[in-house]
Amino acid sequence: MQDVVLRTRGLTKHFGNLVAVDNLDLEVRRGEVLGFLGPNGSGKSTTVGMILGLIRPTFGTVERQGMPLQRIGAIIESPAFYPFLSGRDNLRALALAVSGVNEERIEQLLNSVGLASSAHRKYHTYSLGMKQRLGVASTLLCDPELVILDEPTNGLDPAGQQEIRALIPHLAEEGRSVLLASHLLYEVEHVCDRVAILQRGKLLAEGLVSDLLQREAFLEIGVSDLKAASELIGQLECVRAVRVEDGFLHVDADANSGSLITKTLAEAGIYVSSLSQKHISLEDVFLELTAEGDGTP
Amino acid sequence: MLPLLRSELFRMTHRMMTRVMLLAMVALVIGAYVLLWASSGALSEADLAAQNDHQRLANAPEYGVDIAYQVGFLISIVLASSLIATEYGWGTIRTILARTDSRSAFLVAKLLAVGIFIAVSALIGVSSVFAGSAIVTFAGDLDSHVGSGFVTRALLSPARMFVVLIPYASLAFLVALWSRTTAAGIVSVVVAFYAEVLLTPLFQAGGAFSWFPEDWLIYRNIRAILEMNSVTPDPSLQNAWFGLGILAVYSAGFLGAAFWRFNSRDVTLN
Repeated sequence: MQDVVLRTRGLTKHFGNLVAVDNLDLEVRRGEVLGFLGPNGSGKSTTVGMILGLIRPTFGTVERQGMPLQRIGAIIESPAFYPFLSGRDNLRALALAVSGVNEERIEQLLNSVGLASSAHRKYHTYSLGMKQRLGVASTLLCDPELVILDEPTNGLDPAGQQEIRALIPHLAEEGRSVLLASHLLYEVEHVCDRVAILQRGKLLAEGLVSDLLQREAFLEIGVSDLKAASELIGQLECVRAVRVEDGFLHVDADANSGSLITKTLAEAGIYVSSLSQKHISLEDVFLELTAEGDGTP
Repeated sequence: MLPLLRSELFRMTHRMMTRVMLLAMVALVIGAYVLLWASSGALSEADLAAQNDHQRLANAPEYGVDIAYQVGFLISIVLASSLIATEYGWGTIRTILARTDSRSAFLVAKLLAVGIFIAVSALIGVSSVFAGSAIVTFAGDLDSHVGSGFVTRALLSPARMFVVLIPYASLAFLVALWSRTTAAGIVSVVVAFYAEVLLTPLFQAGGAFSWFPEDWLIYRNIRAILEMNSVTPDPSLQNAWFGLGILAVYSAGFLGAAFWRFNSRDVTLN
């Protein structure tokens, strides 16, 4: 089993009568990228706030496995720095607060996020993209074990977004764990190993991205006699559900069950005109799960 | 805690506001001395003699420190309020606290930074007082004899000024932290100050309020310390050591409340 760097147990936060986070059990493992998804107001930021000690849990615990907060790099919602300081001096101020970071590291980070030439400019003159880049640099200042990124590509141009997307797996390769909270499901689907989906403070689903997508994949089969084929396929062990949709059979079955299905249908004199594996995106999974959690059909 | 203090001082010294306020202290104190002296031509002979006596170097540790206190009062409450409230306004409280295992250490570092600023402003203020008084003493050909004990009084002046600036700065810090706005911190002190200065004579004049605890109020005790060794002391003021004790109690109360509030409150993200 992979080493766990962060674990929450029964994490709950009440703001008056509002339950922002409800009994949340979450694990971040060493070297993995965990996507943290949820609609606005689902409790993602409150959870991050509790992990970082900014918000006190009503119940439950956050176990950082002895990791000091200095070893967690985080951008929370949007980067926040001192407007009267330059980009470089903002990193210096943070470096002084945590100690053990030298000037060389600061220059290296400014270079790596493409801010070296504008590091002397005051932060208040930065564009949103530059602020975001400085935020990313600040998260890496103390060689963090865990990096928490909340919407890290906000405000970045396409090239900048691509750089950040490339950076995230690179962080994991270096042995760091990444908790990525994002609304951009495409982004999460392509850079995360596991995903946790939150709604109204409750964990709706958690697992490997590949498992979640596989769970929701189906076979689309074209046949002439939909009713007979549906009954026949429904009796197979490898098939979990069959429904008729848009003149096709949609079969929820194991991924490698196509040949058995076509053989069964052919033996019954029903010939398959088309068969394809339909993959769905994380966005579809997310929308389906959150709609269920919301009570909407 | 020391790394946090180093970071606080780095930010404070790189902030234009800090430098402007200290420069204002120098300009206003020396300016006040020079202006008073320059406008003394319109005074009667008796008033002129009194003013010259106040302005000469020998009386700088009392008269001049009183002037420096008026400026120090303003800049200390502005800085104390701003230093904590802007962290909320800019959202940087999240940036720093998310890297800090102890909230108390963060607050102690902030308060030490405020204390260091007040100490520096007291030193600069008192230095400006002596500079202004020296200019006027020599330019106006005033009596430059300082008398015995002057050096001790002069050396104690920054300490006295530091002590009297702490209570209102503590109140400003508490209110700014509580409300998360700089303006509220400043206004609360202005209200507390004027409430005491304006209401105390009303209570005294009525005679019906003999229970009114005027000796326990903040500004009255500040005056008791400022007027130590004054040429014309106010006989109604209590002992300066008693005043020091009262101010210490107020400051401890304000700062204790600030710690309690800061440690018990969530740093919400919106």
